[in-house]
Amino acid sequence: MSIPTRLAVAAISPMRLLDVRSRTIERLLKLLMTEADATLIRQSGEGVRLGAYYHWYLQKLIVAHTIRGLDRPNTMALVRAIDNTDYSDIQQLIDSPSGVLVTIPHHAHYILSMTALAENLGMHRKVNVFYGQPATHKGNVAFDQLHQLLFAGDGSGVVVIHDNRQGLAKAIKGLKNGEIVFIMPDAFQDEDATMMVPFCGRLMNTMLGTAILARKTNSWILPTVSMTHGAGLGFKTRFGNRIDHPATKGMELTDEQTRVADYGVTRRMFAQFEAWMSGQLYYWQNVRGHFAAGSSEELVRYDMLSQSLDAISNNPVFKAPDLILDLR
Amino acid sequence: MDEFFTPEMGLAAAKVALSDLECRVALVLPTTRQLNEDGRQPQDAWSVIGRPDRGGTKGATEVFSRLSSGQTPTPIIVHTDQLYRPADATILAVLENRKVYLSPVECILNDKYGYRLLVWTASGLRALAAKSPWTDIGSLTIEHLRDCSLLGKRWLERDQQVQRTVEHRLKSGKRQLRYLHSSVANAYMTDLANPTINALVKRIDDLSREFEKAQRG
Repeated sequence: MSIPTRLAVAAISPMRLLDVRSRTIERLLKLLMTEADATLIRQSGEGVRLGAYYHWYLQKLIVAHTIRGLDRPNTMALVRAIDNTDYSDIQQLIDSPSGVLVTIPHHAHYILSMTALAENLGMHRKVNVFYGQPATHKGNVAFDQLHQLLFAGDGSGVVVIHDNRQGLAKAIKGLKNGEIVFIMPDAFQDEDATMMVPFCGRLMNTMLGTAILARKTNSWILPTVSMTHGAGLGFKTRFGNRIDHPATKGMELTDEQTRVADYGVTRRMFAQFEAWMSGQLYYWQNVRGHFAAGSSEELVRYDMLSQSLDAISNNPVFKAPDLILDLR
Repeated sequence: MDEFFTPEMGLAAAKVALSDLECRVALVLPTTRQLNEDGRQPQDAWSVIGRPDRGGTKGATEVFSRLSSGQTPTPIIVHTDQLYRPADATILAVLENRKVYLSPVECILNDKYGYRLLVWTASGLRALAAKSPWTDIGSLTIEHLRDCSLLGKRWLERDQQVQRTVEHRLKSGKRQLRYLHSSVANAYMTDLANPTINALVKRIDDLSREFEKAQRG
């Protein structure tokens, strides 16, 4: 990233104070937004202004545009130039005798954070970057291209695996062999397979896959979040506290208790994300969807569970039809 | 200019066609703003079945108890398009390519209380004599609901009809189960040794299994 570009982004940072919709800016940024979206973005935190969202979107465009066409050395130079991460925290990953799941949500410059972290770790441990296959996630073609550019060949220690059956098998095998797997736990394909966790003022659907992987492979989880840094282009990867699955600590659990334990691990992971992200939630890729679809209700209290279960059991939606009429 | 037989025409035609002596007639009409206004006058003499919270309508149970108590029957307008919720639409109609829930109200009026049905469709009012087969009533109700969609935005209940679908009920039920399951997990995640977990989760699993089985028909 050229110094003038970075200075330009910093120079227009006062646009973050803007709090009216600007069709001109949206047109220039090719940002498709409705009035409802604008409201949702403002709701994403106290005092959030639309200008901050515009400024963020501009940064994303500049990064994407700049990376396109660069070769490996220049891309890595760009990433290093705007990376403000303290990597002393990754020693625990390098030294770990067991597999590690590095979890990172789609927040801020998450691609750059993953890239920089993978490069740093790949020198010491095999890193598997696990994400949606382009066949089902069209936008991920760009990730494939970027990883091909940066990590092709055996020397980098970084490989891409997709979230299909083969990819999952590779992730499990890798973790069992003590490798590192990067995973983005804030995405899911099948809502019916999700559970709800409280997250930034809403109930959010999430898979328990990360916790299940940790349990099945005796691995531990390190939550990380990509944060913006400074007024211009810049990012900093924050490392959270290690999470161990209770089942990997020798605890004997029934199937039902195991699912509750998987949930607990997932909940602890998102609690760490929330601590960092809640102040700048508009940097999260799913911010609009979260506030549009997420429920503001709270989970049922401990002392009300049986009562709620009775009430739901008697809900007419769970009753079989009184009669089936075959009209074919 | 409407190119089909409108609900308002249906109400007007029914008013003209019905003799003063014919009390046991149920007129199935869609919910439109115009019809609500046009229909005020007959509503004094007729009962209107729909969702009580829609205004000017009575719940089916209230009308059935009056009929069962031996009071003089009156003609009835049925807004079956308002009866889509799980508590109201309890008959599962299996069609060629989909399954939808219908209200049993027309069938009960026709079968138990001997009401002749006059059902609005875009091509005119269609009649079914008392004691008609329930499959005929179901098919005509499906035709009625299909033609209601021709009214576009004038059909006030248009956006609610998705709630009749099995897919919607499955989604709604599964969401409630996920909510409950998440609540149990949230409550006990720091108390994993508590044996209550097994009983609660098992109950949710059983409910889930029965629910899916019931919805698949």
